[in-house]
Amino acid sequence: MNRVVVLGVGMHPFGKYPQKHIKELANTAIWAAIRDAGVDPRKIEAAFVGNCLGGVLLGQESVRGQVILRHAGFKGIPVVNVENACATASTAFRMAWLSVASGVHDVVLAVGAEKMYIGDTARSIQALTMATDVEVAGNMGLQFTALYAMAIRRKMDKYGWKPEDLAKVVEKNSYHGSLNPYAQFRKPLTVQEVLSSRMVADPITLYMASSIGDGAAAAVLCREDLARKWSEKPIVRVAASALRSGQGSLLEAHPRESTTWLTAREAYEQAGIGPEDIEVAEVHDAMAPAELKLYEELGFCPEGEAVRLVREGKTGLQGQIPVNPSGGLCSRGHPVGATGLAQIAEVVWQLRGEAGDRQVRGRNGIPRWGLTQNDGGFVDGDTAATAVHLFQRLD
Amino acid sequence: MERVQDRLFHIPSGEGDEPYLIGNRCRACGSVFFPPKGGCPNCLREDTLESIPIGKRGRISSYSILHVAPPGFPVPHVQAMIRLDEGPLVFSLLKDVSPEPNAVAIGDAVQLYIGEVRKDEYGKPIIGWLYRPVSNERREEQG
Repeated sequence: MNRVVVLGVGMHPFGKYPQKHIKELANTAIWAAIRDAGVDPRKIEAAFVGNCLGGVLLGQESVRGQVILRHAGFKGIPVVNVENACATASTAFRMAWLSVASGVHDVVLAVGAEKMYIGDTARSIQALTMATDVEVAGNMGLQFTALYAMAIRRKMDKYGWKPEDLAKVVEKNSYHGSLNPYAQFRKPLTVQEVLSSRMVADPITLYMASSIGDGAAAAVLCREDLARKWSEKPIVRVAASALRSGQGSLLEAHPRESTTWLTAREAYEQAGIGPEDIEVAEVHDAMAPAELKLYEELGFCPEGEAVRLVREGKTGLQGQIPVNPSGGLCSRGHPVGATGLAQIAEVVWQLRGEAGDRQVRGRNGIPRWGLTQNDGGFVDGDTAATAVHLFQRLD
Repeated sequence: MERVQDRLFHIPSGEGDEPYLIGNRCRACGSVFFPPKGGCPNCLREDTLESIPIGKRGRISSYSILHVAPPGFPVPHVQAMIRLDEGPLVFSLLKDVSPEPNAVAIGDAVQLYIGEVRKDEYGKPIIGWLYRPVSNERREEQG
């Protein structure tokens, strides 16, 4: 397989853009990524375009990627539409990676775009619940807030995690988000503010939950040898790409039996590293306290010890293993089909030392190894899709 | 009345007829599934599954009190994952439970009944599988 690098990344800031069409959101991200890559756009051979809810929310079916790419000025190249619940953009990125790694293409584009503010919040929230087996859960009112709440409640029950621990994650990530110009919510929140915000799905309060949002993110990927010719920026290699569907229990699995771990382990093995080598991570905290569960499932700490990491500040910007320096899903925002590529953009900026006020410190200066974890949907008792990517800055 | 899905559960037709969920069991490995599958995920075979009634009893795997709910649902209400005695983990709503923290606990025994899940946009009831604490069931029988 060819070695693949991320030559450029770009985003449209996440937020509420009632006046903007999804084509405009995506266009900003696509051209930002191309500028960042410094690549001649004519060299782009294919595009993998992720969008999750455009069918139900915008009425745009079947050809969302082509609509977005034609608007951006591209014609003729193969366009593949990718949909995989909240892991949509990571999956688009993986398909792009595969196409270069396999030798079929040399330079490709991965895009994730979502527009959720359509003037009917109830409809947008309802659209999210469709990422389940609707025959089984559709009429039953299953809410993802409730799923996360139930998973967290089991941890609280078993390990004595406190509501303050859950809120502490939001305090950390909202501070990170306050430093991120691409973030939807930039107000730092205190533990007290988080705990006194409205209860949504006990023990999840409003400020622990991600919101609906609009946004887009994109990446240009290419063969490593070409990047060395074209780019003067530090080169960030895709060291591993792993994608799995669920197989166990989201609520009850031991961390080392979880789909997150099975996916992460595959990625660590591909890259020949372990969790202890990761210097920065972007993880899927659709409800912020899920980040705690993910510390254990990604191997950052043993089972039950996640709260120690956040209590001791180990996952903050200056900590041992900074997690969600972008602010995570609750602060940067979670326009679902764009999130995975926003995570990847953040890790690429971090590994290049371009993350500004929210730049993390690795073991020897600018971090060398980064991880993204993005999951989505709920089918047959487990996550429907989990993607883990590892990135390495080359010298 | 609209049902959630006839192929997923049985509505009692009269006295002595009990509600159940329609699951299936693999004759080769013995695993039980809900919703019913077209192939056994353990054996990866499509010719070993048989339909069986399940889900009359189970235990709360976890629960959450929802203070924000989709249209047609009461606020607050309690959502739960139920570990059925036969093995499958099933999403449902907990009824006859006070929507307060600690009103129920993980591990509590619950019992199936068929009833109104919510009202549709025209106010018509949608019928599906619901669970309530076994202790409540007893109280009703006594009362």
